[in-house]
Amino acid sequence: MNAADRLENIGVLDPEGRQVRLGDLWAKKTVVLAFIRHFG
Amino acid sequence: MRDALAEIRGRGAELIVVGNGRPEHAADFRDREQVTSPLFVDPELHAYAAAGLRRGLRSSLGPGVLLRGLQAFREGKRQGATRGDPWQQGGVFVIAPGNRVEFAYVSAEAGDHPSSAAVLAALDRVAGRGARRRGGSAPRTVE
Repeated sequence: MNAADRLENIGVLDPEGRQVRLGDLWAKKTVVLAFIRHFG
Repeated sequence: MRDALAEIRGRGAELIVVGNGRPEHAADFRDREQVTSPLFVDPELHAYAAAGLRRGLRSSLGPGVLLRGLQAFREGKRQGATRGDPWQQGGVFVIAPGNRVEFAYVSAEAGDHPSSAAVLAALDRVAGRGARRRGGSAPRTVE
């Protein structure tokens, strides 16, 4: 199981607070997924 | 990484940014920095953990970042409710459809990032693999 397998079903929130499933983000196109330490 | 945005999109990919604060922090950041990439937050750090990203005093306070780490700690103590977890480290992944991880970089400490060139090279491998697959060769997964 790779990182994408572990991440795909995890939900994150968009800036409006809507939940998005991470795996949907790379279902159809390649993504550069950047985790940042914090905003600001 | 944002400097490489045009090159990422030029390769048919998108930059997705995940932070560890609350949705309004992402909204503020998007508006202030005029960010056009999709932004998300992971307040409970579930995705950070699943990605194997580091968290803790040791990774935050390496020799090169001691002073910055202490400053972040002070800021975290004062602003932890608004800025997220100052101990959480970041990372960068290139993921293609089918959960193919072409590139994975786990930041060891604050300020530790992959080069844009390494990320773009991974995108080129994905594109090249797609072209090769149309020619019949097998895909390769790297992690």
